[in-house]
Amino acid sequence: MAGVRLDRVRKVYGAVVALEELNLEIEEGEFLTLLGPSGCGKTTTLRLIAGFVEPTSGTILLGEEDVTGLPPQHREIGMVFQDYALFPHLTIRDNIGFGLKERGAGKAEIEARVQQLLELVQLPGVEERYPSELSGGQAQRIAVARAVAFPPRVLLMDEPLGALDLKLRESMQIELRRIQKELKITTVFVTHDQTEAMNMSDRIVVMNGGLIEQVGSAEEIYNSPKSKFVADFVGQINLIEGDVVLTRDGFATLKVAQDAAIRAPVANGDARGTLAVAVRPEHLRIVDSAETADSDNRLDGRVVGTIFSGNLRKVFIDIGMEKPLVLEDRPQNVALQDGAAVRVAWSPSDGILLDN
Amino acid sequence: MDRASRYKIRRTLGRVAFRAYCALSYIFLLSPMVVVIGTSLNGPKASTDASFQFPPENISLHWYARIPEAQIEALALSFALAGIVAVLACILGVPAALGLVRSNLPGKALISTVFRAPLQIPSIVTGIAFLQLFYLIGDLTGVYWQGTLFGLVLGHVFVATPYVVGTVTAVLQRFDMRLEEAALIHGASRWRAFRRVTLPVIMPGVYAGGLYAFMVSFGDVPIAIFLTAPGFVTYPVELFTALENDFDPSIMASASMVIFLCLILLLAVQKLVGLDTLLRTGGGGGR
Repeated sequence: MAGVRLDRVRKVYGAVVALEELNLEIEEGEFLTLLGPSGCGKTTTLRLIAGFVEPTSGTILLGEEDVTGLPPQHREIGMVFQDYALFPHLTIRDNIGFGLKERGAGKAEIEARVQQLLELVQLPGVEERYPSELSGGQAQRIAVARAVAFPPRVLLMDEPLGALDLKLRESMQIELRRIQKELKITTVFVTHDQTEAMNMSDRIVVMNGGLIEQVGSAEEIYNSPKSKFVADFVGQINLIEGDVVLTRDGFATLKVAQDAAIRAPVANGDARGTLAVAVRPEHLRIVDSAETADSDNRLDGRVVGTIFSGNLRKVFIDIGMEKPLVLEDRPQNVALQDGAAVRVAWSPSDGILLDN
Repeated sequence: MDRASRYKIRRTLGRVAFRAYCALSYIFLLSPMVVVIGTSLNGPKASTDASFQFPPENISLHWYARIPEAQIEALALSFALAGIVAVLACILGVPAALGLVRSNLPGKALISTVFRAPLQIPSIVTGIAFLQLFYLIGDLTGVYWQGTLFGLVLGHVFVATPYVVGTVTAVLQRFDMRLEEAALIHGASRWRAFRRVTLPVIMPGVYAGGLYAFMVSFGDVPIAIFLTAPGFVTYPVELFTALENDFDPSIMASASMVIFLCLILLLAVQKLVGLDTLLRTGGGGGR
């Protein structure tokens, strides 16, 4: 087991830059997720660690060892592929035992390890079957067992849950995390699903266009996004643009649509020009028009739609911006009619000031 | 009549028509074989001409006992030749297909056209070309390859290899590269990954190509006719000569015998590798 370090790693395909200079350190035993839209460089990063592609420049370290240029079979890495890539012509036993056999393990040793791993992934008794005889969830577990059979220094997972339906995906998230914790194995997980990333990871790396946008825990990424991209990609968020007119006591006042003034905390001292205030839907409230809480930000608008989803209600409110505001609260007894005039309020400290 | 029953009648008519069509296809495909086997079962007759009757009279295995020795020997040679050709075509064809599918050589299209060329040249031209080549080599070195097993193998491998390249290319294009990556990352060297994963997965294509190669060699007359020598003749060439010279129903018996042998061979191949491998590789990666 070891950590991973990518030091000024750059990857160029012809004229296309897949990865700008990337610096990333993954700690021993950590579950780190690379999150981003397709083409953001997350899969390239994973394939660089695996050794399927070599960086154009920069170095890759596993623990203390520089593995740049070392072919994949000598890196002692385990990998779970999208759609699993189980060997269709081998039994589950031979699939799991593949790496052990390649590294010269004896028959008895392999058999013992296979049994132990089937126990770990909670699928005892399937060793005689072929991959085509397994369900998606089962194949997924076998793919994990194969990847960790010869204890790898690092476990890589490339969108491993993409092919599963929602219910199964959620239980597999818990299952994968359990296995990862049990083995205390350094794991790099690639996904474009932000919920999945937040459910599973110690830390999340949000990537975009071959660059790292932000690195942090799920809470950090969600509560304090550093850019509009991160704010928008992770969870739902309202972005309200405006010009800074005043900065005082750690809060900036912006002039936004409707000539309203809204306030948001300034992270580092000063703010000027056109910025965006980001507010999560759950921080918005619908307030009585007569109600006056001076410190709150307030905007008036009209309801253009509501979605009821059991424990939550989403309300879309047009305030004269390009996109309506999204508000999330508990369903009320009195239904909101489309077209109803409402006043939306939120506490200034819930806003996040972002560069436009 | 209501719409439902009209539909029912139409469906029944459609089914009958479809079955009749299938039956006609089978009759068309199988009738030559039935005639050959049927004629071979004629009993002894006064004249040779009378022995070519269909349907046969006085059914007996009379002519089976009179298959000339030379034909049996030729048959043995043909089987051996076709076997060697099939194996060599695979040994040459699989790497060729790998190169064509995997590499990004400039001029890949040209190379793949060259590999298909033997299929486009009329076999009789190929035969003459090889004969001339062997004369040339013989005149230079004193070793003449026409009329040797080596010469025949060379000529047949030339026309049979493109079939292997074709079938293996087809399976390789569908091959999921991640299987090979999975083998590599879990500790296999490039060669081991090929041996343990790629090759078994593409094996149905190799078997199919090998079988084509076998049949191409086994059925060939135009090339072999130039490269055989008296006393060293493949089965189809021997039959060809027999038909020209002494025509009698033993040829029918001999041909029927070969039909049965090939049938047994095909069933054996099917049993050994065909269905089983195809089903498993068709199963995909656990979906």
